[in-house]
Amino acid sequence: MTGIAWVLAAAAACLLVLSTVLAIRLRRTGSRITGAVAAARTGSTELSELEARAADLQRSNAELEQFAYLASHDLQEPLRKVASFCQLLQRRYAGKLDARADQYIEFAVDGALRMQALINDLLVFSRVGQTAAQPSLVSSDAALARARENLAQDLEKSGATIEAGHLPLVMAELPLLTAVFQNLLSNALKFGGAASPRIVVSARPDGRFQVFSFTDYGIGIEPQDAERIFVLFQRLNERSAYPGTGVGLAMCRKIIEYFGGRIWLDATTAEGTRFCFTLPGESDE
Amino acid sequence: MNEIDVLVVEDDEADALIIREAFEYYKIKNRLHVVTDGEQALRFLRRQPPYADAPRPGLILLDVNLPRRGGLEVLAELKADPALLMLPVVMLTSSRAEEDILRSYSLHANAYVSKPVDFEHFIDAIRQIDNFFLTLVHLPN
Repeated sequence: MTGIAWVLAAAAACLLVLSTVLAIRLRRTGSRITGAVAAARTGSTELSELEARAADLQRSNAELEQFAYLASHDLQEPLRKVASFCQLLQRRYAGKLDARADQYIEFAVDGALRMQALINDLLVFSRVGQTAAQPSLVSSDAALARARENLAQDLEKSGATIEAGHLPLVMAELPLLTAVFQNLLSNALKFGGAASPRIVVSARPDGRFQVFSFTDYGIGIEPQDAERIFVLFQRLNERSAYPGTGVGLAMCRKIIEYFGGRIWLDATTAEGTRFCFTLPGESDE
Repeated sequence: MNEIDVLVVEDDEADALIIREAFEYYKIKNRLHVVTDGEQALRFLRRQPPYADAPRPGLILLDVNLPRRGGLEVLAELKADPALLMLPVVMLTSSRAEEDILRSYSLHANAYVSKPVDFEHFIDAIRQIDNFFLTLVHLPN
């Protein structure tokens, strides 16, 4: 049993190191941008230096993506072993040792599975924008339909109703846009409050962008948490009441920004939660 | 039904054990033989020492990443050998690399299966492979 505990602890340490490194590097990137902008404002920096910094920034971002990808990919393999053999222990020996051993095994299985979920999500997160696909005009109706299909079981179980009018064409990639809708939908189901949550999806044009709004009438989010919710691995609620890895909204932000849009929490709504995001639409020309 | 011999070429002891557990769990009657590198696999199939008495397997589960001679090399050699080329080979590997998949099929692998990350899915995959190749399909005698 101590063997498993050691392996789990080691894997947890890896993940911790990984997320800390990510956080530090993201922060560093942020301050570099601020520095570069300040320099540009005072006009004291030569253009070439600014360009060099931009290139530096791009390289550091690319390295970061690569690092997140490799780390999550390579962590998956040993973790699969830990999770598998914990589950085997559970299958074979549950009820045959003593109550304490059963609990140890249960915690080990739970921890391993949760870490697996984290690493899988991190892997998916790090892959956003890494494929050769190019944004093209895609139907956001189709993306929502796919997201609903993927969540069909959960939707049925919760008895949720989704009110969505006709949604526009936008410049994006269908799988990524589907992932955005799916994350928002699954959040709305999770935090939708009462039985049969109601979800309203709409879009309106604003210049060359389309502005989407995604509303549920559930437990809502405090305005002071409006930024924190988009940070990787950040969670606001107890895990036992609301399970999840804390990757969903960070992924939504990464995807939307990758397509040149913005996503935010609309704090003006009185009840429930409303997310808004923009995506470039069909150009007029 | 006759027990059929299945050759597992797997250098990862843990994965070999999971495959064994899957056979036990689903009460699959077929006999498992595990070798841990490509060189041993070829010796087993050609009944060279120390495998002079080895049975002819009805199915081969072949890992891609193996020490000494890799899985793809073993596959190429099997499929070039008239005595062995009809044996069904399933590549069972943790690699999801497009290149490995492409190379496996162009070397006439019968199937390519990525080891599922989830344990339940992993043992279910073993059951399905076994069921498909050793129960469902007709293979030449």
